Amino acid sequence: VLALVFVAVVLTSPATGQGQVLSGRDVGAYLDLVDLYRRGERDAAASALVRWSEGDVRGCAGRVAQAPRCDATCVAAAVLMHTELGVALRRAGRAGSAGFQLDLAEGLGRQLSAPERLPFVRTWHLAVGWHLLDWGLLDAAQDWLGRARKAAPKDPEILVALGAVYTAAARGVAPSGARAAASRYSGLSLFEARERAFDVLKEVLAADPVHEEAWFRRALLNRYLGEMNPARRDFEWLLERSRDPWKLYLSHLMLGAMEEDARRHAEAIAHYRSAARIEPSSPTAHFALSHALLGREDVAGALAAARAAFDPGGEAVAPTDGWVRLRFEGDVRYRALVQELRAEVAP
Amino acid sequence: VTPVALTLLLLAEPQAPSFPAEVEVVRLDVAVTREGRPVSGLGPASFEVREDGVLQQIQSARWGEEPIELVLALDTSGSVAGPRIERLKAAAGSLFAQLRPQDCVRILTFASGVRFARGDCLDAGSAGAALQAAVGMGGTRLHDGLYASLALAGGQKGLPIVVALTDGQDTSSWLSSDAVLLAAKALPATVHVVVAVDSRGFRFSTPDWHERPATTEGGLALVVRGGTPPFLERIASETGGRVFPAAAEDLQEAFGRVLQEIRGRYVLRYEPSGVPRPGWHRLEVKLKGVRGDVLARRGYLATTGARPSP
Repeated sequence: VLALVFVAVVLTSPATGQGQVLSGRDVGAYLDLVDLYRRGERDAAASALVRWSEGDVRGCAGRVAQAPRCDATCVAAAVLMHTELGVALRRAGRAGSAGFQLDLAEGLGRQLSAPERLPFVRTWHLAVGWHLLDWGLLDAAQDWLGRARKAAPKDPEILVALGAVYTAAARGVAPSGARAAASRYSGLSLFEARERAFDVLKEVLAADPVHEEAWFRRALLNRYLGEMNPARRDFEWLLERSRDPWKLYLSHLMLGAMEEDARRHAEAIAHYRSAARIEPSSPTAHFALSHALLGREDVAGALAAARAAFDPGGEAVAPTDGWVRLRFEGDVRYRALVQELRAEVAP
Repeated sequence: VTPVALTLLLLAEPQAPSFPAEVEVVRLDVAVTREGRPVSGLGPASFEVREDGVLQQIQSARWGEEPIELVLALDTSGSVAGPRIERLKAAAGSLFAQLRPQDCVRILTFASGVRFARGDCLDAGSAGAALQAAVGMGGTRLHDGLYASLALAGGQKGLPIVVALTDGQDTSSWLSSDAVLLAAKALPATVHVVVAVDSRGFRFSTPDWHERPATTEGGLALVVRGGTPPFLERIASETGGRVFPAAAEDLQEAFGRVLQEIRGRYVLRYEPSGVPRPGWHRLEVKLKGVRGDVLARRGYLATTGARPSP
């Protein structure tokens, strides 16, 4: 909801740095906005801040560390405020302003070097990494997560996120379909990206051989790269071991698709039926099942399966569809992590 | 041999439950044009239909009288956010207003989700009301939405027609375009596609996903190569439908042309003979003694009913 409010705010406001001169706003006014943000009045803080010139914002943010009333939690709040505003600006199509806000957040974040602040910094980097991946900004995502990795080389969550970035780079497409941005990825060749993706996941699994998330990532990576036997092995491992409905749902869907590609319709149908049982209100498994039945020329079955995607009243919305969640996973994860961070900076 | 179950374009005529022999009738939606204009006044003798090369005996050729069972499939993703969604609603509303009492409409919208408006068979008023809640936001499950539309257009209440409005972009579907083509061939609906283009003739396209608004830095991301995506052309041609490019401000007129197209057609009926069933049946439709161009679906699938599924 906040993101939507932010979007509304930034859409109706002038771009920062345009048409406004440096007005000499003081740090006190800036810190008032940070306080507002910390108290949960984020849209009010955003709507005010977005009207400041970039010079004013930069000037005040640069003096925050010296302000007696701003402790480390206050600096962390400022970091988060600029991060959220940057994300909202990107959503509003103002990539330049978004970049400014994120750069500012990054600069402020360097001040959070005390050991007790490292967990905040780590989660913040992770959140921004997922956000950038969602937008297909793979170079930037790699940079942010790379910095987090330097601070915590063995952190499995960071390695898994890096694995997702390298996987997108190896595929040449971000999960959300941001193809244009993905194709601008310049860091690595497809082969190098693939190797790095496998390497980081291997590292996680070496430390924890039953790390579900790493198994899941490797299964997806293998599937995307057309390595069907390893993909099948990984998804089947998940079906045996995981209790996470989302991973089970997607494992069945992916295994179904692989069986369908191999023209083993009966096996595909069985997997799709299992997926539909896990998420009965999500249309993807019903559509997949329908298509597999059509492949067997079972038209009646195919029609029934497709219509089962819609409830008896006809309504079918599946905002929680596991397939959609995978496509927009970066955003889902970003939101969840930001929620955690907000709690940390609340007064 | 089990009785042949009707699938695509095949219509089992209503019959008493005690009547043991199933009567199969193929119902074929056919456009005849001369110099781009529909040709009316033709009878069964003016048509020649062949299934797998075997000449069929046409029983009737009705012009524009058939009730229609219309599934209107609308892209309500972020690419139609803002004024476009309102234009879209207005255009759809004018389409609904021109439907006859015997016609039936279903509305399916696709964005990050696929939504089928409540109600099995809507009249014009309730169809308009059902569309009011639509907002332009999210990714685009074009393939999934088209597939579902084909499945929902069963043809029990009229001639099954799908009219899809899209810019041809898909960002979030599970199903591939090939899957939709398979369904288009196997299911009975004729598919007409209104492809949204900008006023300079280019397709409009916007960033890919959920909360991205349509207007971004640099304005619309125009896809300069223009034209209709081949996949949409293919779906239309396989099912005997047409593609209607339309600028956002001309949607109302485009929907009007679609309705004219739907009504300015013949429905041919015949009982297939001399061809083995089940399976794929290639269709050829020609005119006899009449000048003009013919558009009809290229074939249909007859099955022996549902095979046992695991």
